[in-house]
Amino acid sequence: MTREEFCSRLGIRSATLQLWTSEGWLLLDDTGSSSASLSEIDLARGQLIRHLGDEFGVNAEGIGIILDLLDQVHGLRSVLREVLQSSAARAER
Amino acid sequence: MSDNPYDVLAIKRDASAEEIQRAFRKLAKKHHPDLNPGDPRAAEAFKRISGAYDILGDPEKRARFDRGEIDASGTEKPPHRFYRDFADASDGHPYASAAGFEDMTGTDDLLSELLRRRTGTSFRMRGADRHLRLPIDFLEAVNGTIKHVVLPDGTALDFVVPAGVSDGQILGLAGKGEPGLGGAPPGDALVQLEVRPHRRFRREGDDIRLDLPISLTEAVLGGRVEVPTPTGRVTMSIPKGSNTGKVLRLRGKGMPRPQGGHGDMYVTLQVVLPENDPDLETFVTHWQRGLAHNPRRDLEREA
Repeated sequence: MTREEFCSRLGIRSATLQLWTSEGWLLLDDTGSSSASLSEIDLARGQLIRHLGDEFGVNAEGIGIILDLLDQVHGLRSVLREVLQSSAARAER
Repeated sequence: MSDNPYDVLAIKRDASAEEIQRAFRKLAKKHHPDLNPGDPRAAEAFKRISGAYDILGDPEKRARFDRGEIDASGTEKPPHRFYRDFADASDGHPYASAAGFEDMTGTDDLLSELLRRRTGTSFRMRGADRHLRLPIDFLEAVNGTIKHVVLPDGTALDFVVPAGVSDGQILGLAGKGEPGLGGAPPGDALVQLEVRPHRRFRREGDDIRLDLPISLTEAVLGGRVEVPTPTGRVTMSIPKGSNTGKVLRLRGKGMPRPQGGHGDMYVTLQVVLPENDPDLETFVTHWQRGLAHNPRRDLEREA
């Protein structure tokens, strides 16, 4: 989806999107072209940022920390899953 | 567990707006699915909490709920895809982080081998279904139609609404949902039809009903009249002496049935007198049999 579409689906202004990208919360190819495409995962991440900021009252520093830790949790979860799968495969052999 | 939003947020009926917001934040922080990536129950709990806050957090909706105008489920939102659904399913998405285990990759053992290997694994996920509502006219529901719909994201859908669909029916359009990730197939578009009522025709199951005004002459002497049906006009003969309320059947002029064939159309006659007709008044005044006729005789005897 385009930036405009992304903003309208989330109900945010384009300045807000710019702020999120400059904080590094969302990754966009920074060519500045408005045709830059955002995907569903960006949209879901934006939804989470809105929940944290608007509904839970987390401030900007807090949001950055939470996103960073969450990314680490997901990284660890996928490694853990692979360790489990691989040890199950070894047990079969 | 009760769905009453006050119970869901565990607050009293007279809680202030601040108390409601505090209760919501406390529960939402605890149950937000993205803050509980491994707990499958979190999504359900969060949905319930958000639903309750949707009602109680809005003074107008809260008042309507208190007055019983909307129920606890009246504001359920379409299913929401949480970030964890993407981040957890996928390796190699742009936000993937190795910071939680990077320091363990130096040693030469099973774990580090796995950690090195996992770069480059791919991930597939079927696209989400799109849910749409589409209003159509009564006659389109009877006769079928072809619809052209442009979605907010610019996708155009062309599809056939078959003849004989009913209000609330859902058409599934395979592969017309959101695109899949990593080469996986797209989701489906699910179109729920809303059939607008018609001024004259009413649907009852497979049958269609119509009230048809007829003149006094046609009622007394009988005759042939034109009747509109959803598929065009037909001629129908009215028998002599047809009263208001008499029902005539037009076979096969009802709704198309999915298994083939059609229902029937039922036409209810309504005798309409001419307005301000002195000749008719003169006739009736001198009409002895008419003056003696009492159509309420049975009624009076029963009472």
